[in-house]
Formats: sequence, C-alpha cells, structure tokens
Amino acid sequence: MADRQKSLEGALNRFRFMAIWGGVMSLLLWCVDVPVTLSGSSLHTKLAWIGIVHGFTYPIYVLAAFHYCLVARKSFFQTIFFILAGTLPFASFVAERRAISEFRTQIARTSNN
Amino acid sequence: MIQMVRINAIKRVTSFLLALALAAAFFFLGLWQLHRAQDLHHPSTPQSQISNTPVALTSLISPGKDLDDNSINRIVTATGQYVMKFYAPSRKDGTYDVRLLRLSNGAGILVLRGVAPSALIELPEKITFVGRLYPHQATDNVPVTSAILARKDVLTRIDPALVAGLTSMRLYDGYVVAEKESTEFGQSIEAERIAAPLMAPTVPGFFWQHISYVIIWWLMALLVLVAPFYDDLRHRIAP
Repeated sequence: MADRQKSLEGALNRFRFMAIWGGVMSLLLWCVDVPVTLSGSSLHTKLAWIGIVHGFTYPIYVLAAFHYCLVARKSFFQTIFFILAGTLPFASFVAERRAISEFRTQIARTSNN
Repeated sequence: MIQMVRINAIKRVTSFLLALALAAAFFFLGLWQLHRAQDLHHPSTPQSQISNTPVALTSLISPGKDLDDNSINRIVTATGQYVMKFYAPSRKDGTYDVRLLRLSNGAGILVLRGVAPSALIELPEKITFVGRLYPHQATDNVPVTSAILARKDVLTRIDPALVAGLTSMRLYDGYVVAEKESTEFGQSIEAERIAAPLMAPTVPGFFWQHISYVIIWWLMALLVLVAPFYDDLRHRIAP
C-alpha cells in the first residue's frame, strides 16, 4: 500500500510539473504566438521558439500524463482527457488541480481507514 | 456463455482495427510533417540558382494546375491581350493595376502591372510582358465588405479564384509581377512598376517545429496502438 502511494506520488509530481509547464507554453502559444503569426507581423520569427519548445515538451507531458493515469487507475476516457488537456490553454491547469484534489481525497480516505 | 465470448471477441477485434486505422492516420500525419520539414530544409530550387533568363510561361506551367515549387520566382514571358482590368488594394503601396491577359492558347494569367493610376488606361491589343511568377495570394489585403463585393473590378487579393466566376477562360495559377511590357512593335509601355523580389519559401512554420510535430504524431500513433491493451497494462502497473 505504501509502495503504491509512493509510486502514485512520484507520478503525480511529474505530471503536475509537466501540466504547469505545458499550460504556460499553451498560453504563450495561443495568446502570443498565434495572434502575432495571424497578424503577419515580422515579430513572428522572433517568437518561433514558443512553438518549438511547446512542440518538444508536449510529448513529455503526454508520457507523464499517461503514466500518471495508469498508476492512478484512471479509465481510458479519463486518460484521453488528461492527454488532450495539454493542448488547450488552462485545460492542463484544470487537470493538475483535479489530479491533486483526487490524490488528497485518497490520502484522507486511507488515513481514515 | 458462447455468445458472450463471441461478443467480447468482436469488441476486441473492432477496437483493435479502429486503433490500427487511427495509428495509420497519425503515422501519415507525422510523415506529412516530416515532408514539410524537409521542404524547409532543402527548398526544391535554391534561390541563388533561379535563372534570370525569361522562359515562356506556357512552357513552364499549365492552366488549371497548381504552381509547383520550381516555377515560383521564375522570370517568365508571354504575349497576349489584356481582356479585364482590376484594382487590387495592397497592404503597403496603395492600389495595384492588375489585368487578366488572354494568351494565344486561350488561357488567362493575372498580371500585376504596377501601382494603379486614378483611371486604368486601355492598352494596345497585343502585349508582351516579362515578369516574375508568384503563387496566388491566400489572404485578403483588405476587409471583404459588401461594397467591395458589389464591385466587379476590385480584387481583395491577387488570386485567379476570384476571377474564375467572371470568365469562361481556363486560368493559370498564381500571378506575374510585370517588370517590362512592350507592344507587338517592340515599343515599351510605361507604368509605375513595383519591385519583384525573390519570394522566400512558402512552407509556413519552422524546421524544428515540424520535427516536433512528427514526434507528437508518431507518439500518438504508438499510444493508440497501446489503447486496446490499456486495461491489462493498468492492472499490471497498479494491481
């Protein structure tokens, strides 16, 4: 039981870090990079790093979310939600909050037992 | 009991086939991104190798077909008659004088002559132009209002698709920015020409961005293949 909780905590921490990172990058992508690109501004080339960093870190987020969902025994459809949350601004923050509140509930339930 | 087993088997086979189809789709999306990255890294014709010797437009491209990367930026020449004239508002130099030239083969090409004077003048019957070939513009240069739509002589972007409904001619894709025009007697025609610089590669985005999308699509393909075994995997990792 303690082993499982330790493993869940590790997976949760990795997921939380990547969810916050992914959320910040999604916000930058959707609220800065995309509007600048659509406006045709020459600033677009200076902001190219946003899309590139987001593109290379999203797969790490996906792997962290997938592993967390497996360890937390999420259903298949919940797993899809957690994976896709990394593509939309704020959605990964929502997923991170949801994961942490579920973990706290589980801790409370375990200590009551 | 046997029926339950059969239903389970059908469910499993269906989900596996669905996963295979999705994985194949994701794999090809990754491959598409890889080709876009390759296009950016190795443009089909390096800009320094684009010849400044005019080539006949009709020998380079065909009407009704998309421009290929090797045709873009080429200096072309053609002879024909201007049959339609348009004002094309630009984003920087005011309004352009754009004409539809009918070639001897009956097909038409849009020619940007230069900055438009207050009234577009009529030009002699037979014209020969030399200019640089560009892909059609994909976005409007001015907001498309009902007043603009009502005017048949205004192009919100230089795109043969906007002219297709006004003529029965077969049209060439793209447009030419004229550098020189002359009459059939070799007399030069004056106009306020605009610069026709080499255009940068048209593939949007950046090399490494496309490579990152390749990784994302192929990772998704892998996860989709794992999906039918998700429950087994979950029980093995968190019993």
